[in-house]
Formats: sequence, structure tokens, C-alpha cells
Amino acid sequence: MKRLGLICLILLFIASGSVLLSRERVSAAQELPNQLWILGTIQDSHGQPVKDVNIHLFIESTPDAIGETKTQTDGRFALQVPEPLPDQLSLRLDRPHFQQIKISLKEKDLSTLNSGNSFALPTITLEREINSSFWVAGIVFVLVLALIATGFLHNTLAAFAGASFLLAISYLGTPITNTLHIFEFPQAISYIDWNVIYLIMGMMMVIAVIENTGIFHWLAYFAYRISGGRMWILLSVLMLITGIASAFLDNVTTMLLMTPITVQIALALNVSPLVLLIPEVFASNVIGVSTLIGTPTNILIGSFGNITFNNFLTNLSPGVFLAFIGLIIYSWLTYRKELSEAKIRSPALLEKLEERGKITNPENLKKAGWIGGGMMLLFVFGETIHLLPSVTALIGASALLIWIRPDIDDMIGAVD
Amino acid sequence: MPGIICAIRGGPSSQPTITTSINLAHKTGETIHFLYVVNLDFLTHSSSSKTNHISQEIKEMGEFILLGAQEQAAENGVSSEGVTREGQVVDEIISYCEELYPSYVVLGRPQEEQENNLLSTDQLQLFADRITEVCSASVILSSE
Repeated sequence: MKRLGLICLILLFIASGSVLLSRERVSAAQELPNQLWILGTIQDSHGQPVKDVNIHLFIESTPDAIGETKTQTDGRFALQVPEPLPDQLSLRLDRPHFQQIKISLKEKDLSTLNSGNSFALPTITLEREINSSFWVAGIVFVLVLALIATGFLHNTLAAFAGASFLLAISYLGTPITNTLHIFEFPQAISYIDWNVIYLIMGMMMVIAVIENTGIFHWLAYFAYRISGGRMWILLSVLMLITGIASAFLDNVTTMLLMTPITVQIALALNVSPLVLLIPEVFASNVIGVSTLIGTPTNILIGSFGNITFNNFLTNLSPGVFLAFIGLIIYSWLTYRKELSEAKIRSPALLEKLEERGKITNPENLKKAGWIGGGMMLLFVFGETIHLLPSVTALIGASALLIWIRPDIDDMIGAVD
Repeated sequence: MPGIICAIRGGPSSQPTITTSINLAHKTGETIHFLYVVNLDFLTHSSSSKTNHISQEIKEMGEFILLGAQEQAAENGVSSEGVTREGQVVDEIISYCEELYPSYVVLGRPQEEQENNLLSTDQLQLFADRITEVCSASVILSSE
């Protein structure tokens, strides 16, 4: 047995050595002797790097390029200059939606190349080109927003219609005129932020499990119980519960879950439901912005701007706290007359409220609580190991599904 | 004993409708059938994936609203029952009328034309005529 282990160890060493040697050979092969390069960076008028700019190298007054390359995502490029070196060289930079520019290399740069050295150009700025594709894309964007706002088409259908129209214009219009080129399919796909999609999907599955445990009913009834009939306490606690839930769930979902039970509390206390619902909506919006996962807008901004969960929490919490205090005062002042007239309408309604204010599935709630807590820890501390929030949400959702084993069709249906 | 159908949607604006039906029940001695219709059309613009869960929540809310109305009727010495239906409000009221053939149907008439009113004043009158046509009931429009 020991001998077998020794043989394995030797084989492992030989294999590792081979890999290392082969890497050395590859590295040696990659060291290209004495090549000349023109280096540079291209940015737009906002100072943002521009990727995929086509850079062509020409001998002045000849139509065929003698070298070409593209800029990387950071806007940098390295263009190899073939030898022998001509007397005059120029660069042509072009990219869809930007104005094409031509740069003639100066004598100083050519003499640098002639002396066998590469050189870097100063940062080049490309100006945007406002052409037909700009107007088509702009008008389609406004139309899609109008369709969503008026409710003429479902949000998803409106977005699909807009995207397919832009692709149709790109593919069918470009053969007629280049100015109708908006983007190609692979480029369009690259604009989808999968970090956002998976984060929202994971959180929706977690919510789907939590909402069926009766926790929202229990919390709302808990607010009623601890208020002891003092309406300002009831109002404040309901706002706090809604706000905290909104910090971790989508605002619309939170309000959809809180509204029915809030209406029941209001009816039991003989006050207009709006007196409790409107402050809850305010609280949901105000506290909901304090975390990365509180609203889809934050998720989009965070993903695009690389703003982390902790960045959101630490920078927004103080302002959100102050705004929440102001909101409680404002709500109380606005609805104090209605709130002061509240009284228990009938014991039967209270009994019904108590009956509904119970946890319906404590086992699932306990499991969801453990996994939810773990997810929060990963959201907060995960960024130290570059753990994306979407990965945390997916881990949490998967763990919950495996542990609880809900109906998988229901879970798929729970994702918008 | 055909009874009185009283369609309500809860909240303070339904109070005059409930009061009207209770007064009517006092006079006629008939039972009030409070009707609450769960309409989930609003979800198509927000979160359609939650339809099942929200439908159940709103149904429970409807039962609560009906219980409140029934309590009020009982306090006034009037017998009543509550029914929840799911679907389009207008269709469900008509369907319930066809089942029950009530003597009266009490509906709320909004005080002013608002965008969120289910029916405009003209449409409400047409709806009342249709109910009478379907089940020969007298329709009473109570101002909300």
C-alpha cells in the first residue's frame, strides 16, 4: 500500500514537472523579439473607456490597412507595426455610434519607431455620432416606457417588443444604410446583467417560501398587540415592520403581503385603511432603499457601479433613519384626527384577527430563518472574498429548496 | 324569501351602502347577502407570479370585510350572510343575481366621477338596468 502511495507521489511530481516545463516553453515562445507597438487609450467625451473601437494602420494615401486591432474593455489598445517602416503612417479609428477619426503619426513618433522603440499615443477622445440609429433607439425606449406606464402592454411584453424591434431595425436596416445599425445580437445579449437576474430570481424563491409561513400576519398582529390600543405605537410599529421587510424584499411584494392584514386591522379598529396603508407605503419606499437588495433599482445601480451591500447600508442608513423619524412624525400629524377616533369595532373581528395572526408553518419559518440569517451574513461579509450577491441569493434559494422541498412548480411559478 | 344582495368592497366608502341595505332589511324583513368580489386584475401590472398567494390573502380580507358588515347587521337585528367570489366584479354580481333572484340589489354610487371608480355614472345606471332585466330585482343606488 505504501509502495503504491509512493508511486503515485512520484507520478504526481513528474506530472507537475511536465506541466511547469511545458509552461516555460510556452512562455519562451510567447516572448516575441523586437516587435514595434503603438499603444494608446480611447475614451468618450465623459472620460469613460470605449471598447471595441476598430483601429486600422495605413500608409498615408494608400487604401489598404497594414495593421489592425480593437480596444479592450478598459479602452486600451496595442497595435503591432509591421516592418519595414514606411515614411508616413496614419491611424483610422471607427466604431458604430462614434465619429470616425484619422490620426497622422508625427515625425517624432516615426523616428521613435525607426529607432526600434514602441511608443504610446496621448489619450484619444471619440465623440458620439447622433445619427438615425440614435433617434430610433431613443424613440423606441420612450415608446416602451409609455406602453408600460399606460398599461397598454404588460411590462415584459413591452420590453420584448422594444428589444425585438431594435434588433429588427439593426439587421434589416443596416443593409440599406449603416446609420441604422444599433447593435448585433451577441452585443445585445452582453447587455443583460446576469448578476441582477440571478439575484432577483434567488430572492423571489426565498420570498415564496417565507410568505407562506404566515410571518406577515403574525408580525402585523404583534404590532397590534404591543400597541395596547395606542394608535401612534401601532402606526410606528407597522411602518417599521413594513420598512424592514422592504429592505430585504421587493417593495411591491412587501406591500402586497402587508396590505390585506393592514386592512383587516384598520377595519377592526374602525379607521380608514388608508390611514395605515399610506404611511406603510412611505416607509416601504424610504427604508427599502437602504440595502442593495431592497429594490430592483438598487440592484441595477449596485451591479453597474460596483457598489456593495455594505456600501449601501453604511452610506444610506443614517439618512434613512432620519427620514424615517420624520416620516413617523409627518404621518402622525397628517392622520392624527382619524387615528384618535379609532376604537375596537367588535370582539368578533378581533377574534378573527387573532386567529389569522398566527404562524401557519413554524417548521418552514425556522428553516427559512436560519438560511435567511446565513444569507445576510454572506451579503455583509461575502464582499471581502468577492462573493457576488447573486451567488449568495442562489446559494440561499437552493439551500432552502433542498431543505424544505416545496413544490418545485410553485417555486418556478413564483419567479416573475 | 329572495333577499337583498349588497355588494361591498370594504372601507369607509362602503358604509352608506351597508346602512342602506340594513334599513331596507328592517322594512322588508329579508336577509341581506353581502357580496365581496376578489378581482386580481391589478396584479397583471405588478407581480403576476404572486396571484395564488395574493388571491388567498384578498379572499381572507374579503371574509373579514363581510364579517364586519354581518356584525353590523346583527347589531341592528337583521339577519345576513357573506359571500366571496373571484372574478370580474360586474360579471360576478350578475352571476350571483341569477343564482339568488333577490328582491333588491344595493350598490354604491360614487359621489363624484373618479378614475378609480369601477363604473361611471352612466355605466352604473346601465348596469342597474341589466340587473333588473336578469332577475327582476329593484336596484337601489346608495351614495358612497
